Amino acid sequence: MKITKSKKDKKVEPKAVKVTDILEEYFFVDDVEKVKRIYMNGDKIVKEEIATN
Amino acid sequence: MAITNFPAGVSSFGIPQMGNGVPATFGDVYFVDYRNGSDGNDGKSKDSAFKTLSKAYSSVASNKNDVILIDGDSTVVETAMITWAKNRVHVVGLNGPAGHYGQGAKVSIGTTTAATDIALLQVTGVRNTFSNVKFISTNVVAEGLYGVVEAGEFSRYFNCEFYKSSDLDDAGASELLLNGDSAMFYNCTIGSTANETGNIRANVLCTATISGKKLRDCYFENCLFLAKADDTDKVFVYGANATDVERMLTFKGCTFFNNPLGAGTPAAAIAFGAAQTQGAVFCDTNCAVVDVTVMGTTGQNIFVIQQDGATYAEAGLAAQA
Repeated sequence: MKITKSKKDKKVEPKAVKVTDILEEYFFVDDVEKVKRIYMNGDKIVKEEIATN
Repeated sequence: MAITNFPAGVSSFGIPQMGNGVPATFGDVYFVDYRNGSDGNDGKSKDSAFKTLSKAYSSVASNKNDVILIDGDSTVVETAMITWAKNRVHVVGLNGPAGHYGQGAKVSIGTTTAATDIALLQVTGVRNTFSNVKFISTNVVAEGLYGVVEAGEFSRYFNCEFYKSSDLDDAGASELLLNGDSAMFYNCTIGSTANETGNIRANVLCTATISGKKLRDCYFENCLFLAKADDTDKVFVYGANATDVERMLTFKGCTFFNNPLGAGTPAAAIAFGAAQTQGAVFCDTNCAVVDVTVMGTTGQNIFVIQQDGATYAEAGLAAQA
């Protein structure tokens, strides 16, 4: 089975800064594990985010 | 004989019990609790749990069907690759009933400096099993190209997730390096729809890499292969050489899903650097590709069951008689 969208209908996200690696650090807040994701382009940090893990 | 204090009972009066997905076993049971445990403990109850999976591995006996239980409330962070050479050891993540992804029991390796850390886990033993665990690698050491290296024999993975968020544009990196003999994967998820990759960056790399090992008679059932490709050269299952698959590589009911919001549509879900000469790939009729042009590259010994005859073939899904 093959499922595709036509190129015409394809919605492409805006081009973001290239990310080569996403590092993760784990920690707890009120007994819930969180993850800090550090988006890297080579040695440069592109962005950071914190989410429930 | 002591009763353990594990809910639902790992053992009762010394007799192993079923429950919580924990297999009945003739072996010993060890506990891993990264948040509350210590590698100075004996690991034999939840109140004396080990902290790391590597410590638990060092404690189990080979060929005794020992079981390692991992608490599902935190990520076990390893500081070096675990080389899993023992046989018949069973790892179970405990976070309720198992799913395809989002397992609560997670084992991760971050950035290390050792060239020997090619993955979080390298399995070379026989008849080991892993259930309901997410394997994570964020390692950026140059040699750390893989999440898990499967190079054992008759390994079985149930409801495991393989995730590698580093080397996203490295053609030689992959979530899973598959050089195992008779490895089986059920209800597993390999890759991510969130992290955009460049180059081939396979989810499963079949290239014979581990000395003396190669992919032979491997099987995937009801597995998800996920991607967000930046262009057409992304391949979900890839081997560089004509002899990378020996005998059989079968996919049953598997989905190769490329996030349509990515910039690229991969040309093929399964492709090799050369047609396979020592084995073949088979995808059953319930395999599907999403936002991928074809299931397999034509003429490479990749067999796909046709669902609607000529139309299917014309769409580029390789079918070889």
